[in-house]
Amino acid sequence: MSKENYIEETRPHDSAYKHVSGYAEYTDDINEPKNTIYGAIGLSRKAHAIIKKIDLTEVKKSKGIISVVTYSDIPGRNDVGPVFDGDPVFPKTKVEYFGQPLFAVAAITTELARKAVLKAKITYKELKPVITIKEALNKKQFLFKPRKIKKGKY
Amino acid sequence: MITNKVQFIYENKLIELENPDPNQTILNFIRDKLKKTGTKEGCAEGGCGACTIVLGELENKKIKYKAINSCISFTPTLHGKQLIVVENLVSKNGSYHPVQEAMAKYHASQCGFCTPGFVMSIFAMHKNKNNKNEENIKDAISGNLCRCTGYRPIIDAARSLKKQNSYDDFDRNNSKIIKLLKKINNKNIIIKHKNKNYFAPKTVDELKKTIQQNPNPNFLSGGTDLSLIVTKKRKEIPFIIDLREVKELDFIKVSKNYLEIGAATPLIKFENEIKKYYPDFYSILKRYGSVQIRNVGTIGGNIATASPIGDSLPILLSLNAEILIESFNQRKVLPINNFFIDYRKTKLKRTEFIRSIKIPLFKKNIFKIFKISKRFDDDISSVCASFNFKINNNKIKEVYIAYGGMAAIPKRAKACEDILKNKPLTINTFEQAKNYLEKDLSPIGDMRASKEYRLEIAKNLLMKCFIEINTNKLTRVN
Repeated sequence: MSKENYIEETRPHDSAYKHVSGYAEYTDDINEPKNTIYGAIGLSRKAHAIIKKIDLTEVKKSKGIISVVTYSDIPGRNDVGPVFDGDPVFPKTKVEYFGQPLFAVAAITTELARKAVLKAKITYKELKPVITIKEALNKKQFLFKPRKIKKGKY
Repeated sequence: MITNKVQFIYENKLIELENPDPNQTILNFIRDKLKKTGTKEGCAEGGCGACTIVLGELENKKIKYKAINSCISFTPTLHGKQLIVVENLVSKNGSYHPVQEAMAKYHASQCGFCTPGFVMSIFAMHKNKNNKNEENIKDAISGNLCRCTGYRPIIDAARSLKKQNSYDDFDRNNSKIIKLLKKINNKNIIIKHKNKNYFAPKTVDELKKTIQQNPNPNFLSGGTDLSLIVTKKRKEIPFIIDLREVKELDFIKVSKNYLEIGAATPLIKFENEIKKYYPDFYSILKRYGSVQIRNVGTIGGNIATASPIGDSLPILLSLNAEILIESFNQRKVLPINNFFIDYRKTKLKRTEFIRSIKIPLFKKNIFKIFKISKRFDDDISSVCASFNFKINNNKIKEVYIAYGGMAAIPKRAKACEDILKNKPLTINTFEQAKNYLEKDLSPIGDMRASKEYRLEIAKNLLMKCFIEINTNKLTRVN
């Protein structure tokens, strides 16, 4: 007789054995088709700054590079904020966090792509980052226009 | 006798690689060449443990299983070992290893990305029969990070193995593997791969010859620091001389007043010896690095890289250790006290290597070390303080204090020591002395701690030390 009632029984989850044996396939584990090209992203080294110049000469010359894209290559609207605006793919003038994507490359191997992005020469004019709630309140730097909920007559 | 072949055991077979890329990590070799993708890249700096593999090594005719981070180890260092990756734990008939069964049964995976690393860390522990208590289990997995399941079910899984017999396929094939391991040659390795060179001399004499012929090498002694040049800076290391293969540099010699440690002795071996003399040194090493790191990282490497956050440095400073240095035509002894010059700069010249470290055994002294870090295990010190006191009739006869993690170099606190010396062991003495730390130390402020905090902690740790000595009680949290 087959067992139909699994209530109160502890059972491993569906992926458990794949996880523990190393056979669960993650994106990076998938065998790539031949001639796959690989991307890497060039990141900001400043937390808050005006971008003065992005010099990608050495990046473009780097071994194995197929293509380099910056904000100027974005055809449509340069914003990917899912609900509200304010999330550029690559910012044009201002860096707002450390590690913000500034450009991307495609190369014949992951290694060469990652190597290439480190060769960018980016000049910044550093701005003071606002990192405490107090500072933000003082400077009235709000994410949105503050909404107030009040009780009583208006 | 020279070879350009790296030989190791994989899936019960002897594998031979001719002139492999010496800058290729074992992780990339496993994923790209062996096409086994169970071993993951997480942090690429030996911190997260997703890349954990196990190496079987012959020690006293038995195979010892060592968990290591494959992301920061280079392929040629596989030579002479048995490589075991997570997929190898599944039997040919498809049955899972007891460690894998336990991890599945105890719900120890969620997203599953860290799981193979945990499996391998627990596997090594289980095989070495080193799961006697909770401390062993926590130590075994302190180098593996999980961000979703949580550690409780993982620890439950590890704990359940205590009752399990460890007999498995690896035991079944044991004599075959030992036979194969013995077949591997013991020749000096010279690898030339395009413009990259790797040398693994087997003796000190050969090492000296190699240095003479290649006067601008990067010494590899575990590589937990050096390999980041490749994995993070994405640069090449053109000349590597691997010191770990020189067996003469891997020893512990105990004499009456000294402990002499070969420079390439792995930390994990060293910690078990130093435990007998300085238990705090042992405790700090366990917190300093995970099992994976301590299996490859060496005491000589720690000193030579002179990283300001190398926890063994302030400890060795307060123990007045000596460093034996050699080059192809010279030998000298330097006290560690004036070895560090500046940030990652030491008196070691390009063609010199550390042969050994002599640690005096202060048998009658009180020796205490305190480490303050954001995370208890496997984290960088904000402050590491080491105290060595000789006290007679309630009077301070000898005192050596050193601080690490504060600034560019680890440093003795001489002004503070001068105030304490020959004074009675009272709170007033220490209250007075602690202010002199301001003269001794000029801490930096960074994301780990502000300079004010560092200085305050340095003072408080001195007071903590006094309280522990005075009350003869430990005030530790763990």
